[in-house]
Amino acid sequence: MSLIAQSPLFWFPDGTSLSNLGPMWALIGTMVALLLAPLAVGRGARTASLIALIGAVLTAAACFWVLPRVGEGGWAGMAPFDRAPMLVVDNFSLFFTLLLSLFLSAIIGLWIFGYYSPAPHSDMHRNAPEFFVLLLASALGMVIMVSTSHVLMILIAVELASLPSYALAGFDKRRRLGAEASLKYVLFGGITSAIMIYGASLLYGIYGTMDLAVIARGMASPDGVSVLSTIATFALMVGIGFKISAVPFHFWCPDVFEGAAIEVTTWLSVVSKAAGLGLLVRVVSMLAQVGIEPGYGYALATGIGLFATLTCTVGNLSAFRQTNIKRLLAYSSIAHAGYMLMAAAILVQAAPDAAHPAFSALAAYLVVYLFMNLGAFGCAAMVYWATGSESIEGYGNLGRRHTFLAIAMTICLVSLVGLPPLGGFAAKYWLLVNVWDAGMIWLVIVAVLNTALSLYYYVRVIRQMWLVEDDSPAISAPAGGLAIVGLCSFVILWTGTLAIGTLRITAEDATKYLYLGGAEPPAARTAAVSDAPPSGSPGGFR
Amino acid sequence: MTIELISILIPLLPLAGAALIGVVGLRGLRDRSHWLAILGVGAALVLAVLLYEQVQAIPESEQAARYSTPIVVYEWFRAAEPGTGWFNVELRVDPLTCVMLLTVLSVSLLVVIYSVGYMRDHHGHAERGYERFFAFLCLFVFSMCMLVLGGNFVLLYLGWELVGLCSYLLIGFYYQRPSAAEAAKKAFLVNRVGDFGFGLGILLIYYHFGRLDYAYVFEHVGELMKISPNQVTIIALLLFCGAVGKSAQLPLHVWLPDAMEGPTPVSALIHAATMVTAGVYMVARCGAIFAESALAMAVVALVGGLTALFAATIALAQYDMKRILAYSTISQLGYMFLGLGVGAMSSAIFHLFTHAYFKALLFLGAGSVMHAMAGEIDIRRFGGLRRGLPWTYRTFLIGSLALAGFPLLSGFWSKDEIIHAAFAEAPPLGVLALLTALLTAFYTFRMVFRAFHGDEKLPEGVEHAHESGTWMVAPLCVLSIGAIAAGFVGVPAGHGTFHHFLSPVVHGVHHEEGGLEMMIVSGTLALIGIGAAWFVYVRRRDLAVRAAAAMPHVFDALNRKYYVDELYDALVVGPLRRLGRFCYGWDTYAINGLLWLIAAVPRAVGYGLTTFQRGALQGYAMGMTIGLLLLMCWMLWANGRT
Repeated sequence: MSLIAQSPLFWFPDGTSLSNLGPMWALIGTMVALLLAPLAVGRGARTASLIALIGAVLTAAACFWVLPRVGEGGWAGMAPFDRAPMLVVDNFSLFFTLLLSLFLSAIIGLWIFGYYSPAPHSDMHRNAPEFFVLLLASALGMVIMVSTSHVLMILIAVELASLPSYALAGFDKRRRLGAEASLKYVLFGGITSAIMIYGASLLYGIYGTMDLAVIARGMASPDGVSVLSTIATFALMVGIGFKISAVPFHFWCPDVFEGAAIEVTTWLSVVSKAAGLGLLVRVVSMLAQVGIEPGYGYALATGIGLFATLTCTVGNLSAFRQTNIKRLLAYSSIAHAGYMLMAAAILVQAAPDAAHPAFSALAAYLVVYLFMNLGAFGCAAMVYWATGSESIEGYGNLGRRHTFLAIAMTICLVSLVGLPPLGGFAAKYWLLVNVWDAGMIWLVIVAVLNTALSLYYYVRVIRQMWLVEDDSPAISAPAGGLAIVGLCSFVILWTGTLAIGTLRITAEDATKYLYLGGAEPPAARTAAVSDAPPSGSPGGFR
Repeated sequence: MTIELISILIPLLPLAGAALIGVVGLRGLRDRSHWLAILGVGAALVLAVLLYEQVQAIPESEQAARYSTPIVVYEWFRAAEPGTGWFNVELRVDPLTCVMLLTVLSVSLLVVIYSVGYMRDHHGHAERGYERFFAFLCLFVFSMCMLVLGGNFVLLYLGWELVGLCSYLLIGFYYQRPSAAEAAKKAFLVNRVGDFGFGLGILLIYYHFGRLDYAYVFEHVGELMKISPNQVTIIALLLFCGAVGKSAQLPLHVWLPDAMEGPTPVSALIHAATMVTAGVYMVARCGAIFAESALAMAVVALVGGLTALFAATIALAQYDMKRILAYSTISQLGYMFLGLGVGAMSSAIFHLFTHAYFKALLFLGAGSVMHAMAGEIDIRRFGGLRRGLPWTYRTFLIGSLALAGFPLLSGFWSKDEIIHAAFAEAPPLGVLALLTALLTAFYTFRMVFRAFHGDEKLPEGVEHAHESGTWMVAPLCVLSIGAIAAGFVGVPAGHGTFHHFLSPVVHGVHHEEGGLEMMIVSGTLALIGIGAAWFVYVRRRDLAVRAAAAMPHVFDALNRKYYVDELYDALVVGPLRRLGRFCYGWDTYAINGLLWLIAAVPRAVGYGLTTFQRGALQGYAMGMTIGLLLLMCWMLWANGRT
């Protein structure tokens, strides 16, 4: 064994590395169990959902288990032959993984309630094991997205997150809309992946490494950036922009959200964006940490700022005339991606300091964003189960037909606008304060104007629920689903009033220790930079 | 249990009660919802007693440090500016808090018990909104506890507004009655005026100190005094604005008499014993700020003294028992402010303490009468009730004697201290206070004699007066014990247990000389007032009518409350209403039109965008390519710019 371990042809990670990746193992193990279970106990939907739920909870538990082991500064490992570390585990990635696994449990919960609701079953319910494997696989991809500082792993993670999502979007094979959505999703994903890989290959060509920390040091050196490297970074961002549906890579978003089942839509609208943003801020702050060249920094900051402006403006304006609630929420999530992009924009100008407040502001925003979208989509799902309608017309007089649901929906929508005293306001306020402090006042103006714009279409739904006369019969909703949306509304209210400080402290704790490549590069990696272009040494790429 | 745990539980228990009543009320157990209220408030009272025991046990050497260290429940939020620190949910436990908690919770518990009997009809069925009433009552107790426990101005303000909200909800409890809805609105709006000043005062404190916690502000107010004394005066006066509104002092007293539209237990608890004294509590709490500014103290004393006399004269000519008591409350609150203003802050708190018992007793007694008279409360419509309502009569008499300042009852001790302090500090105000004491005795017994003495007279529709049930009589009896005995904790004047307990946190004055003489004078005046009322309303009943007829203008002015409401209507409400109508027109025609125009632009753009996004891939691809190229050009241009 020891011979194999020392040989240059084989490499095994040590015990620490394996245990630090606990959450990922939990996800992988669940997937294997889901695939094998049908052989032993049959293709029961109940078993599959139970296994998936246990897996999600285990993932969350693993985060708590790993947290004390990682320690300050984060842990970077899976570095074969002392090359660049492939995976990174730090507070930020664990915090994100925890959020993701909680959200995953909620999605599985929604699926279960949908399964037992009077609405007819779809393929998603009939082929439960496969559905959950795809869901968990995309979750794994997203977890890796936020747990890496290596360009190659970024590419793999984005693909791992995307490919199952394409299948999830069109999972219901008999639904025309779903099939169309899935195809569009694949096409856009393919194009943006190509651009992204092109950018990555350019970066490798310029700096001779795939490790972002080393690339950053290369950029910081005299004459480190050129037109080519600007284009390369930008191309890399395109792939991320696709994941967070930033304009102009958002075209897939409304069609997919409308075509996919509501559980899938909820999943894609929230977690996929959150993972993309987590990746983006890590990339940006790693590039910026060693003192970025000012012209390049300005271009990057304003570029991302423009991205953000375009994204929230186009998202909000397009939402104006939507009649389908899922499409409306899709555009709303585009707009929110725009607000969150602003956090990435200010990170570029940051001092080389790990605990930049923009990180914690983004983390807080993500928490609230997750709850308010889960609440809104959950309410939409329950209305759909009861009435079979996804149009805003169908919400007429919901206040009378199901008061609790209407109240929860109203709270979520008002929070999505970002009005006090709800969590959406607290998070947005904090984000904008940071943008203001960073000196990008025009972005604050953009965000505020957009908030005012967005009021119009959210309030249209609220008006439909409370002020429009409608004689449709009262509807019923599963108690578990009501509990989920009730919890979401409660958290939104809570974080907006009495727990403003708790939200902030949590977010600050979550982003306190961040792995940014380490101040002192390991000897092997320094050598690797010096002798670019790479040679065909054992171990292949760096 | 530790002080920390107790002080956190005290407000939480009534809150839990309120929440649970909401749940239980929906589940069809509304008839039983009072048990949750009794349990919540009762447990809080027990805890308050425990808290008192523990605070009392703190040795003298540790007192200053313990009192000024707040109990941080959790960190709440941080202002955007760095270095200003957190606003916390923090509680301050000191003798003043203990006294307030004991007063508030004991009266609350008795009022809750009383309400069980009061909020039912003669068949014992719960009134409409029974569970709502108890839920609001519990919410009020929670708010009041937060107000007195809060360790910074933010929590004080929140509690302040929460009790205002509860007051609004409970005044308008019978919202089907237009007069109740009007009264609730009036109380809310008048309080806004005062609270505006209060809010400004807190902002000014934040502006100068950068923090809002009591300990820091009180410690550093002396430094601000050295830099700009005017600012301290302005802060104190703005804070006092809030107190004027909440405690119904001149010129914002107009809401309190109207607030009697609410159920009588509410009037007893909120508008006599507890909420209206929040202003007194606040000034005493901010004693460190007020004490720095002689002008502010003078204003407080003057407003208090004038209000005391002013309200007492109006009470002479009212016929509605609850309104007489309301004006009497305003007048007694005036006494408290007079005490605060002349520096006898612990005496003012002492009067707050005794007043809570005897005034709650009087209100609950009036409620008992009202219950027996089928909702009639006008003393011209009934009389001679002492035989029909023996227990109500006895307890009401005790409350009246205490209010009138009859020697050795609770009101006597506390009122005497204030009068004494006023004489020592500002003799003219002392004379004012003495005159008010005489009037108080007179109008109180005018009410007693007209309602309970003479021949029995019942309003139409009431066959015979019958005593209220045990639920109502028992609290009356307990409160009358309080009305008799509460004063003895403050004996001898200025040196009693009460003052000693408060002395570390509340400023007091001790005038050694002349104490006994003043007691004799004020006691005699009380006796004269009672005697005069007896003479006029029992012995020579024609005298009152003749006096009123002899001075019709004076009587009318008093009866119509010096036309203050009419004056405000003409000066403030009318112009405001016209302004409102103008704004409404402006809003409808100018702003709405403009808004429509503004909204039309995004709508049109949105229309364009949705047309573009119709599902055709070629369009999408083109959009993406163009966008990508534009962004790329921007990046390259920006990169080359520097």
